Amino acid sequence: MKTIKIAIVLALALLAGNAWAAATVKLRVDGLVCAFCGAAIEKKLRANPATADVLVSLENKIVAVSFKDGQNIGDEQLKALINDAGYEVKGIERGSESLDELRKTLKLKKSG
Amino acid sequence: MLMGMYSPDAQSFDVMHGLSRNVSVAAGWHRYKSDDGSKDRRFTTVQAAYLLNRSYYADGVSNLYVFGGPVSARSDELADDKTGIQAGAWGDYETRRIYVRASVQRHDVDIVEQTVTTAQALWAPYAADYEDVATWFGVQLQRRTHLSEHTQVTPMVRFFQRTWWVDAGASVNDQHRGDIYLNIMLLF
Repeated sequence: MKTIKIAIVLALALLAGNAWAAATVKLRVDGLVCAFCGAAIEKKLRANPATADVLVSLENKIVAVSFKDGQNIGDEQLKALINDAGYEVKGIERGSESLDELRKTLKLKKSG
Repeated sequence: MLMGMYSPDAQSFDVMHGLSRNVSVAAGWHRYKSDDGSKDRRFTTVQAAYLLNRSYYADGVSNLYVFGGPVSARSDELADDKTGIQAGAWGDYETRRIYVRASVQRHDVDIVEQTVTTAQALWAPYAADYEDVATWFGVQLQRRTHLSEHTQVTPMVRFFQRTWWVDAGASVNDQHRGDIYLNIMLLF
């Protein structure tokens, strides 16, 4: 019985780990109207070692970030990074959808 | 960021670096010629720019900057190189379809003085997204006091994408008719 419990705990931990690895943060950003605005934000986010990928959508006024395995950037730090690039975060939403899935949903191309 | 601008009467090259949300520094070289060809002024500048205000709207953003710094001038009007100051202000408002800008820049070095006042208004036929090439059409008006008595009117087209920006146009007012205008920016 004890072995089964340990196995269940390990399985849940692995599932949680995978979900964490795939975690994406969507940030609603005010003032996101031109490509240079987005490029400044993307540059700030990519400079953080925890960042795996960044998506910018002017149409949807969002910036989305995914993280490297086992890494993360907290909400306050994300707000600070975007504020430092000159823009303001109006909302943060964490989800399990990958950036590639989000690109498909939003019909966006991948950053070159 | 690298910026280069060329027209027959004005050329500039600037390198800019953002230090923080509100402060950037730049070094540049600017050249201006008078309409009659009697004045040929070359300025080497070091400047700081400060973002005084950024306002966010439902679909747009506006910015107000002030900038200035020391300048070294070389001109036929001066016996040798002289130093002075240059300073100015820049305001813009943009959405994904509309861009308007007004700026003024004053150079003041010994007997060499000039004020360049620029206004731009552009319109985009479609709202480009981040990965798209944005296309804009518009006009630039420019006055260069002590260099020209006329307002230079330059219809232009603008293309930009994430890390590059190109303006191209040709002036249509009588005094500057056909003068080309090129402005290139590279973000890195």
